[in-house]
Amino acid sequence: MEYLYYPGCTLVDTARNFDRCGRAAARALDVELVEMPDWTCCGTTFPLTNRKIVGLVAPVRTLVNARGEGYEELLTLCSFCYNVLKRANYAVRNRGDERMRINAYLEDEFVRAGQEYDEYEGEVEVVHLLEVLRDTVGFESVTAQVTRPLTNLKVAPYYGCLLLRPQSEIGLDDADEPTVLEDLLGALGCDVIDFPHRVECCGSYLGLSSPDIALQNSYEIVHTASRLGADVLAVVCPLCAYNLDLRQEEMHQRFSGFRQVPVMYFTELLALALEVEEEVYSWERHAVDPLPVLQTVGGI
Amino acid sequence: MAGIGIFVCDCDGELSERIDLEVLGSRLQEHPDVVDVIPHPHLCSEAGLALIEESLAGKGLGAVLVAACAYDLYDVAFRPIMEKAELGPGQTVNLDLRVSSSRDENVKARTKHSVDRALALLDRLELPSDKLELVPEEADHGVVRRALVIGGGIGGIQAALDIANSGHEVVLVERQPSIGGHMIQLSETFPSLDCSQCILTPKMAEVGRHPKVRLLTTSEVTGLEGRLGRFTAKIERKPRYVLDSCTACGDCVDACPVLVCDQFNTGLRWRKAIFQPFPQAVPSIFALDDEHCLGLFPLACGKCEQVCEPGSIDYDMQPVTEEIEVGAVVVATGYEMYSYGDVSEYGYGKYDDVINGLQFERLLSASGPTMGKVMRPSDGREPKEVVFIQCVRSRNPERGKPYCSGICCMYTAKHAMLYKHRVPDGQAFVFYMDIRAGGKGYEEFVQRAMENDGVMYLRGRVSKVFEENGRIVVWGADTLVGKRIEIAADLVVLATAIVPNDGYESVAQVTDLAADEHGFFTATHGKADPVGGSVPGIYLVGCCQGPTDIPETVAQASGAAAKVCALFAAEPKRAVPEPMLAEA
Repeated sequence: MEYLYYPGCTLVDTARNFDRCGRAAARALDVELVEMPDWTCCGTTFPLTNRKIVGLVAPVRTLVNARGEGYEELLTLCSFCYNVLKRANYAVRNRGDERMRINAYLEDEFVRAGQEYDEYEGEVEVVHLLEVLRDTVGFESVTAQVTRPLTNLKVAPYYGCLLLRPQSEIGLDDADEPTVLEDLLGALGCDVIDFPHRVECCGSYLGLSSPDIALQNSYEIVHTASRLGADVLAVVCPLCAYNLDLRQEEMHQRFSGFRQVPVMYFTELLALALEVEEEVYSWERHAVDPLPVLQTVGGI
Repeated sequence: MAGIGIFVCDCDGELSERIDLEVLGSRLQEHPDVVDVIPHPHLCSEAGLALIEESLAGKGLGAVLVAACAYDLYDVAFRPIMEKAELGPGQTVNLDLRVSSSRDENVKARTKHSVDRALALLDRLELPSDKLELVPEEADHGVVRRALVIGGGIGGIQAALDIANSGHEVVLVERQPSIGGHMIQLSETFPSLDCSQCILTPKMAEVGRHPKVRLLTTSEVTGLEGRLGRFTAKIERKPRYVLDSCTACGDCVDACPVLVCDQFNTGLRWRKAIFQPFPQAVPSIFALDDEHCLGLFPLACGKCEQVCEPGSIDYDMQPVTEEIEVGAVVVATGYEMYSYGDVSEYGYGKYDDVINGLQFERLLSASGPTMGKVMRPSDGREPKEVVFIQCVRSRNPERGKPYCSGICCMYTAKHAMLYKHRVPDGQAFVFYMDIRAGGKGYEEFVQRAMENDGVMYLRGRVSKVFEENGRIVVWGADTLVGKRIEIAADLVVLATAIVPNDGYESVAQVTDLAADEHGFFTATHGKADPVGGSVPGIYLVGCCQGPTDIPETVAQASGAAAKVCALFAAEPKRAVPEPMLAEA
């Protein structure tokens, strides 16, 4: 099967390992991710006031272009891109006035460029790799294709917020009691921890504006995972990875008794379990090196 | 042949604002028996009444449906005209459009709702040529003086007693093997803290022995035809497999090898496949749970039959359906706790020590699985820290029910108080949104819980509940001091939303009663006739029409009983018509 793939800015730069492992693992499962040509920024955050309608133009343009490529679905990995694209699509599908205004902007833009424009009504479906693995590939099939089960590796699943919320617009899983990540990690053979902090906020952009508050949030998440004996914290979002991984050195300095826990994208674990070739991993991108624990516990 | 005429009122534009009356009219016009649909801006005005009178005379209508206001208005304004035109109760029916118009939906859905209800009512009309009306023996004005009460909880029991004590026959139908409903499961009642069973069991015994009451347990109403004053109810009596000669000695229970999760004790205990739900059950006859019994098909066990001295076990008992004529129906089908399905909230269903309010009632009850001793379900330890969470899935339009479940503020205060009485060195925390204690003596009761019993009330919601080191960690907020709160509790009790009993759908189907989007039956008029159902002659009591506490349910039951008795006592409004022969 083939999906049009939208990597987004972070995944071609700081979160390159997230992207590469995702593509390679998908290929190993017979899911071809075809990168969308000339993609632009998703808009990063969903505008929450209706006055900022122009903030929706970028994500909807991406969806219109996806339609132009002849695909019915657009696949993303990054929680931010997924959230913004999906919610912009929801706005187009469900809010008539916003659909009209966004289409007016885009029509103007396309006509000026000498291109034809059909009103966009939300025809493209925004999907996340997790839901493709769950609903189309199937976790049983994933298990069947795992060649190196990650048995003994204790993994704390961490969702963050943007992948699931708001539930009425995203609908990937239950926002308070999700299971998709646990089910995937279980399919890879991991020993999945019942992790109470899995949908708590990591601190998000407060990492820039109020770093202390964000650090407190991130610390509680990592510290609980560590206390519960996690070998690895599995994440879905580059910003979560930044807050939870890159700031562990600070946590170490600030909080006594803190034990570091490696943070890994779920695609990295997926690639490892499927024994995807070495080049896709870039362990040097991790602030807390996961290799020691992967080697001693995971047998890698 | 004379057909049906339909009059549709617009109430001066108020109804067409919420229901598409044109669609309603054209849909009803399609009915094969309908000859005319006549709209009018205000039928109850002089002009409207004159129009009806003229139409009845001019068009020779055989039956009439008036789609307008509540039944009480119909009685005053329209019935005299119908009687003047010699249309009997079987030939006239009233559709209360306000019931549909008050639904919180869009115009299309409200219109569909009215069309569906109107079509159901049309089927109840008897066109004169259909059959000759026979004068029943027991009634002199076409009203059968016998009532059907559906549901044997406190509401149904009270209504049955009030009607029976007025000298009329009552058929009381209950699905379970015993009457008693949810009230018999409760420990003590707010705000007086008197024992629930002590209040209810005398009433249960009275209704069970009452010469005017025919009690049908393990039975369901599967059909209801007819109209106000003359319904024919179909009642399916499911096999109990135990004959009335049972002496309730309990030998069979000792012999039975099958353990089943005990629903009466909210899953906190096991029972056998042959059982009595609780010792004061009425009737005091055991029942066999045919889903779990080994002896029914094929005869693999038969242990209970071997030990039964009076020979009361009959594995070959078959369901029996009987038809009973009644003049009025009281629906008191009650509630159940919100069911979570696959998704748990606050760890309910995931952690043994997270339970709901009804389960905590059983833990507090002297006849409960722990004999009233408060124990954690997981390890039987006495909990020293208990967190009560109110408004779980109530007042929560996004993930649960938008309505307030009404009883939880009070029962949570009671729970916390009773817990403190049983475990004085324990601490009880209550997370609340706000306290709704509007009944008589209710506010004082909550104050007593706070001040005398030292229950810690925290205004705020709980965000997460999880297990750690054998304790249940609760994260919440105290919004009055603006702080996050973490409590490591031994037991968490959720005041979960209450929803209509799952039997409401079949009752709605059988009776044609209108229900709101949550499944609560709609009264004809929330203020002027709160116990009248949307079908004339059917009355609503207790939680089947919305969350209600015990005193309110009992009051409604007595109110409904008074309505039934008034109907039975009424002077003949009009003689049953002589059969008329159509002119050639």
